[in-house]
Amino acid sequence: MKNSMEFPLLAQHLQAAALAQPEPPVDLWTRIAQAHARRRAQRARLRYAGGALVAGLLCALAVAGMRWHGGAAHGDENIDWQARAQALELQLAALDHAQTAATMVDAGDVEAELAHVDRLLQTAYDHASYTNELVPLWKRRSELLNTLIVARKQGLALTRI
Amino acid sequence: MNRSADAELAGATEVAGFAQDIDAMTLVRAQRGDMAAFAVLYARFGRACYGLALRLVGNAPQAEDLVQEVFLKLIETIRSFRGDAPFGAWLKRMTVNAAIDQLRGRKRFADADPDEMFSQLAAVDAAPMQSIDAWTLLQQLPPRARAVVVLHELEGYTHAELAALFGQSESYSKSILARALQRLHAYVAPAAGQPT
Repeated sequence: MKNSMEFPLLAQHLQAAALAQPEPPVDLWTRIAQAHARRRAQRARLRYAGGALVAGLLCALAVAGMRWHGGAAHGDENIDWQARAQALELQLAALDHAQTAATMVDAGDVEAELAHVDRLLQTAYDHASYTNELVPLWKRRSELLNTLIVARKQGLALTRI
Repeated sequence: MNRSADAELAGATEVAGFAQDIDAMTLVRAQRGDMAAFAVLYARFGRACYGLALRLVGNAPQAEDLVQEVFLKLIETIRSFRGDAPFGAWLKRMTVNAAIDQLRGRKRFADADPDEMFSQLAAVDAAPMQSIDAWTLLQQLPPRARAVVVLHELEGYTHAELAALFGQSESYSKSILARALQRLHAYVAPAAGQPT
């Protein structure tokens, strides 16, 4: 393998090159410090712009989320299905009280579904689910209670006849 | 540059170049982002860094850009310096890596094989040069060949290290080195009346 030692004269020249320590321009450090300051300022601007962008996105997401939840809660002509279901339940309890086992109309399917919806509601509350998941369950519960009330009323009318 | 940086430079005459050491306090201050500490580091190592950059890239404007790039990178990465190697050696490696990256960036030379690299050069003038200084001598080589000669002959890099730096085989740098030395010898031999 060749190296400069095979050429003594060349080796001398290269040693001279190694020993030479040329001076950098006197203002080089100033230029480096200025370049660093520019880079820092640019990064600060980018961080500020990035922060503003993130804040804007978070605000937009929050507004969208509020509208989504609000929209779901105020759907179906702003009906409070939970309050309605509770009112219907009281009404059904009053009808049940007026009926005897003999006059009670068989509504097993509806009652089974009502029990299922109750379990779903319980699960939803246990998991702290969002309003948009609860509303359909309360709505379905109201519908089932309404069906039961209608069936109970029909049973009472038939008994009276 | 501030007075403390000048004082540091004045006190750093016994050991030259990248072999100089730095005191722990300056290092800690630099790692905290103190620009005055970086000025001290530049005062101590800037000249060595510039000299190496100049030998590797071959011209002053590119060497200045390289030193600027190295010190900007130093400012950003000095927190990662754990003192496993001497600070000067760490900075020297950073300088060499930046120079090699710059050479790689020159597409014209990126994939040049040794044959092609030297075939593009003009023939050595048969007329003997009465005197040739070391710097002019290195200027006679293509950029990659100059970097190989400087790193192997002056900085003590092995061919295995050069292979890793250039992303090539060891035979690549061996071939370039042999041709480069032959060419340089062809310049200096006639001046001394030796056979080429």
